[in-house]
Amino acid sequence: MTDTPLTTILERINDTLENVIAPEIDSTIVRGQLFAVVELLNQLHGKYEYRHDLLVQDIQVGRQMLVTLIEAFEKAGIETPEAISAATREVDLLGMSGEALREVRSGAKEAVSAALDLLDANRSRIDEAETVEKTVLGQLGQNILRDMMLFRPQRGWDKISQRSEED
Amino acid sequence: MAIQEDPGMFSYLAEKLGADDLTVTDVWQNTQGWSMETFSLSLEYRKGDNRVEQEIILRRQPVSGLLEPYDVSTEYRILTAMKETGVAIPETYWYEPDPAVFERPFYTMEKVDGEVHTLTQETDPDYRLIPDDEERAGLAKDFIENLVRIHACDWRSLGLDFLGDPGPGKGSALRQTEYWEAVIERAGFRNEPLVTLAVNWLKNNAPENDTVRLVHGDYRSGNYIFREKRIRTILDWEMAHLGDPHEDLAYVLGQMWRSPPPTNWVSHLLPEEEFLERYERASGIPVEPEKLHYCQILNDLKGVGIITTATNAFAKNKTPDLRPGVFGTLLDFAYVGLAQHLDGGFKV
Repeated sequence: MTDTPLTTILERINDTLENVIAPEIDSTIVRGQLFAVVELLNQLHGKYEYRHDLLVQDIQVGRQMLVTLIEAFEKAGIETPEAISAATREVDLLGMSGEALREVRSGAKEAVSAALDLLDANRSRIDEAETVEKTVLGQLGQNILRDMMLFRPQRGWDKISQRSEED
Repeated sequence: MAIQEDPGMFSYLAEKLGADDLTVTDVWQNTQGWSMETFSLSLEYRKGDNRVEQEIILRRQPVSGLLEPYDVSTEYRILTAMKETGVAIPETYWYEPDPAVFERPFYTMEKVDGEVHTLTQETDPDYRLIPDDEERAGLAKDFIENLVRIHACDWRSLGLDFLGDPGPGKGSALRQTEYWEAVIERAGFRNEPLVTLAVNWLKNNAPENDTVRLVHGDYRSGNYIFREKRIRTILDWEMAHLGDPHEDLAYVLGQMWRSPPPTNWVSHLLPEEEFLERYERASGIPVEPEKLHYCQILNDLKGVGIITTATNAFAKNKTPDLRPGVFGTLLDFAYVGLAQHLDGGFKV
């Protein structure tokens, strides 16, 4: 899933509508519609975020991966740094806002990434390090496939409606 | 100011072309590209007693884009150096580093007439990009020949060593892995667990390559101009570098530019086995399946690098162009390809 916050996406769309598209429009009717689009998008600002359940799922899968990695470290007698183990602690995800959930998700990803680097640095000490990596990849794959299922097919840029020659 | 209305640009072009009474009669900007800005200029001028009409291409460095950081001079130097290699490329004219002339550095080159494939699957009921078999065979032949010529270039004698010789052994693989890792780091995505897995795998499994070649880096259908069943010029040299030719081969095999089943032709041109067999025979370079698999993962990482750079340009408001934001929505596709190829890389 993209990491760009919904508020940033809305800001960017409105910025382009106002500063790139609006100056090119002569028709007052079309300008009126554009004004409506800009205002409607403005009203969404700060009120909506990515789906709560998807963010929670990302965090939970992140924790699964950390558990897998920490078990491998323990078996090899490698101490898990606090920054990594802290990301496995339970927090009240249901009571969190979208923004706070995104932060927890970022923290979980960073911890998994750091744990994978730790595994790589200690590859010779960890039995079947590649098996552990493959397990983590499988866990990661669940959410990648989920996000693929949410993707809506795109049209080519030339398929966007345009004025016909006869108009 | 638009080029057609800029007297300063008129006199600049006149001086460069040794022309008098120059006017720019038409300017067309390619809106399909996502990276370098490409303008086609129609010029009319007098040279001595002759009245000249000429079309030239101007490639300008963008403010931001998919392949940051940009240095348009690299592409100019490569094309200029390769003039005598037999690779289908346009003739270059000059490079202008001074941003005072046209806001950002640019270079100019010959305009090559012809068409470019857009990778739509709607050209005919069988979803073939090139429905005419004779045309497809002609393009496939040129496609292989040009790739062989690129890989056969004596880059040292051409002065292309400025691209950076990765050296023998694992240099080719490691340099590219580190390059794309740095790109992804700049875009803010280095801490994605899949990226970490891929980078570590690529560093641990880097193959040896003792014969460093010029690598195009973006070799596929859609990146050449064709006419009358022939490839007239190879485009988009922005990612050219020195390295392992298997990178280009794996890129050609990429799923993004294959025709859909049942043909599954690589780059919409020919079956995979036939492409590799004909390339191997023409180039004398043995195709190694393990290296191809490695380079597929490397190219997947490169795809992630390009898409995350676009996502970052969009999120950081580096450009008023919203299309990088749309491009960023394709990140999950790049992740899926990377995860699938990587899964086959673990020896468990």
